[in-house]
Amino acid sequence: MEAGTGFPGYNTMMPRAAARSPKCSSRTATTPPWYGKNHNVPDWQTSQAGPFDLWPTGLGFEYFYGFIGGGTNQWAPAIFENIKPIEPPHDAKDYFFDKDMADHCIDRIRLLHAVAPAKPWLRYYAPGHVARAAPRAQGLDRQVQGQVRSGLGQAARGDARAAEGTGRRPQDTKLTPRSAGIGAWDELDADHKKVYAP
Amino acid sequence: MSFYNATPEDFKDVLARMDELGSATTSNHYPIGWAHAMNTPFQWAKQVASHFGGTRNGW
Repeated sequence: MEAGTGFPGYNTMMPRAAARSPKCSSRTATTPPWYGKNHNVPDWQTSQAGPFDLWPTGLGFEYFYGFIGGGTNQWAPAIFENIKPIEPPHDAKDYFFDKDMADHCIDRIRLLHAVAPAKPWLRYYAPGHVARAAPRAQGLDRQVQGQVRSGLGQAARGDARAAEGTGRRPQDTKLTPRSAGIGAWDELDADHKKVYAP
Repeated sequence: MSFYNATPEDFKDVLARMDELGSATTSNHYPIGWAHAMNTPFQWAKQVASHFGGTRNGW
């Protein structure tokens, strides 16, 4: 967290008096590990000088594998294991943090299942690729390209009709107005449509 | 990264490099229309906290 605002409590400091979710589950289950994005450490507490009480492991999460801050390069990420900085492999050409993070998560699930198979578990899992920019794993774009065009293409028209009949939308819901700063899909020229929904 | 450096982006540059979007050579976001659509039925995005767009589950 980079900034506070002029309102009580909005100062980036989570008070010790506030209960943290791991504390609520630790009696009956494993305390959850945290994977991926953690944007909750005050900026001036993110160095190796600490303090670390607002880092995931300081909050009571049993393990952390991810990045501190709003986002990171997914091909060459600045990541931590607990509080230890991890250097991603420089020689792995197809390294992508999503996969690395998933592999770490799967490894730990297997480990815990081997040691205590009856113990319930929970993962805090926040992939970084959607956190800030929109990077894609190599090859993934071609797999989902058609789905993106048809599914998100519908959504880009500001079309909420997709939710009709799903039971998730109360019949009397009114759509909020679209800001003038957001162009309507139908008014975009062909080049914009090509870039916005390839 | 042009957004973080307050540098206006020329759409022609984006169009010319659209095959690179999402790759290691760019740091792009998705177009704002997607954000608004994904936040439906809430208004705005998370920076306007009072309207819940981006801070509550959309449809």
